[in-house]
Amino acid sequence: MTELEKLKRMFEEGLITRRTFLSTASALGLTAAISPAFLSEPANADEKVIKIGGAVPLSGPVAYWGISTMQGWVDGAAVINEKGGVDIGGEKHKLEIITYDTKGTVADARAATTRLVEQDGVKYVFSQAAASTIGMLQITEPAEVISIVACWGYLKIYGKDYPYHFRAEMSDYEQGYAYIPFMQEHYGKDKLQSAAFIGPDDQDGIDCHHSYQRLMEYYGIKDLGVEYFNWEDTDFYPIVTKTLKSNPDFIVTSPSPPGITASIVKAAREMGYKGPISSPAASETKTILEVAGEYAHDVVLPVTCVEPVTDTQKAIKARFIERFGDFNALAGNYSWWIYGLVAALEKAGTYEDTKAVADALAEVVLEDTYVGKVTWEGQNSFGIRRQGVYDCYTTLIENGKARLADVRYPELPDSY
Amino acid sequence: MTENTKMATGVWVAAVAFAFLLPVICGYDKYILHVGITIAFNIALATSMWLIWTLGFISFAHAGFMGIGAYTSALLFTSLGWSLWINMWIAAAVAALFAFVISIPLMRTRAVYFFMASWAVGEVIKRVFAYYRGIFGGWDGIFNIRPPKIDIFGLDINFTSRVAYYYLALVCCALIVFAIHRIIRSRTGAIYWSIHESEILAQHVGINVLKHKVIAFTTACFFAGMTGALYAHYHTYINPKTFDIWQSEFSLVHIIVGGLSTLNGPVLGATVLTIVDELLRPAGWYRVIFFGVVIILTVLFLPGGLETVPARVRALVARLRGRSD
Repeated sequence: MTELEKLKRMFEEGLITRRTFLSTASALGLTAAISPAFLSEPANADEKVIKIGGAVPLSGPVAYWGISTMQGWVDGAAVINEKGGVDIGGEKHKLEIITYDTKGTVADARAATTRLVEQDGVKYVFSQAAASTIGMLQITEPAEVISIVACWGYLKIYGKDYPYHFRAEMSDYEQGYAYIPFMQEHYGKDKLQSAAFIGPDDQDGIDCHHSYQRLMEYYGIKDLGVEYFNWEDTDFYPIVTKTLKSNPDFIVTSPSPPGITASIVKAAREMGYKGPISSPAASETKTILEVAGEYAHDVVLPVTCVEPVTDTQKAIKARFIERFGDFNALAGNYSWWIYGLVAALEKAGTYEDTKAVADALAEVVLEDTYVGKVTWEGQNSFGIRRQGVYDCYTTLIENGKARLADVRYPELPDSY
Repeated sequence: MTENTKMATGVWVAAVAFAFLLPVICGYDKYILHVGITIAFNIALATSMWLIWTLGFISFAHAGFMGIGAYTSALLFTSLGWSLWINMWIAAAVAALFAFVISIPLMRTRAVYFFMASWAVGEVIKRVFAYYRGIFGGWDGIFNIRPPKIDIFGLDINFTSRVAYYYLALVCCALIVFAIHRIIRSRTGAIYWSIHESEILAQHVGINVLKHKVIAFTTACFFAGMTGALYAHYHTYINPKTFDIWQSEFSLVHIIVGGLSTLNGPVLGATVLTIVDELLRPAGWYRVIFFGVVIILTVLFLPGGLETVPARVRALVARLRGRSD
């Protein structure tokens, strides 16, 4: 008989009051629900273990990104452990993933990272989104802990002054060197002479607009301006109306999640706009197709592998569905991070000397991941190679149907 | 002094003593000290918000005034190089000055209108930080706000040390709580509660209600500004989102769960909920749900908040004694 059944019987027999029954049952339920989250797989006493910490948003508005990131690490660790673990100097080490929620705030990210570094003793952490990255870096860099993150802006906290900090996700800037050449080939260079930008009214929007401006300048496309929306906005018609006034050949919206991208697409098409709309941060098609419906046409989605093509991609998708019950292309994009770190650990032959691992990681090249070939770039721009760059799988939505339209490695300029 | 007052004083003394000994007890664990510092900030913000509550108002602009203090101190440090020791007081004064000006129209509103107006003020403060990029750094915020150093009789103390900052936060938090305690225990405190109970009646017995409301609001924001300065120099980075409406709402939850009727409430609420939130951190996406469950259970089974626990325990003990007799 379970504790709950015993409790129920006591209540029915009048041994406890309704209040006691309710409070104890709630406490039992809470404990039962919380236990799996607290408990991680115990490592064998004689097994060597490398702890990897995640300070990611698992709740709050950017939880979708955080959960996708965590799934990549959890899946990768399970696969590597099943194969015997990480080989460091001929000795096998198992991987243990410890993840804490940051709610997507700076203060929480700092607390979570402090706990990971000071109490759990991790030397490798991963994170997601700008706020969590800022909070994390305050702890990781002084402690010489390697951080692997997805963060597009805040370039003042990136580069050679942050040697342990790796930005694994391609920002919309690097993506631009793949999807803009694709768009020019697909739609014709002469038909893409001008562009306008729509982004959120916050630092992410400002940073993405800056990336967009640099790309427009590089490709000689006339920049017709920017309109910012608020995250609370649900009516995008006023912003799209203002954008269309300048009559752009195409629109870039970033970083706009799928729902907002769909609303912008719908509003633009309803108002008669015919040009393509690219959304480098959406990385998903289902919502766009559902929300925009018949208006979902000529929507360009870089770094979105809508349907696995290679055996590796198919295997990752199948594993994620089995392990997590679901799969999204964004989680697939993040799935290579752990393999990059493991390759660096094995190459460096140590997990304690994080400087050696960081140096090795910068040299890692992975040929076959969910995002194809992966390298680290940015030597000329940032004085250090810490930016992940990989094959850009671009999905195109045409007439309400999504298809993989292009795969290419970004044609980065020499100055990058 | 009654038996209960003696006991309450004893508990307070024990709590403060424990807080002062915490670094030694936890073996100078940086994470636990970080949680301690967070508790100190949350207590300072919740108690100062509670001071406004003694008038019967809940201000959703409170985190905004914390932001004014944080930005003032940060800008003085980054542009003039002034230390926290000076900035903290200027920050508090600037927050109080803005609060004074805003409170004159704000405090003429009541009930839901005050709620809406304070919400708007909080949002405007955040948007001003975001909009004036040249001054406040926009959404990007301000980086490199370093903690201070001090030389006491040849002894150099660098507050980049977690232990040193813990004691700084603790002392400032204790000062804020003590100041609010003295205000509430004075005749002024009695006036605040009388306004809380019946503003019209208070006015009819000769109390200048608007004056007291403005003073209380300004004083509370002075403490919020001071907390903001401490926060900025500890986290070394601030941005507008740090001081948005959610921060005020968290403080409100601390007060409600802790208890609304005495100063023990916000102190207990901020302490317990900060610890619970940290304990729930590994729960991942269940964290918010569990946190909500904890709050609902507290409200359901502890009407009056955590501050009523001692009285409940005493009543239970008395009942058990009665049964055994």
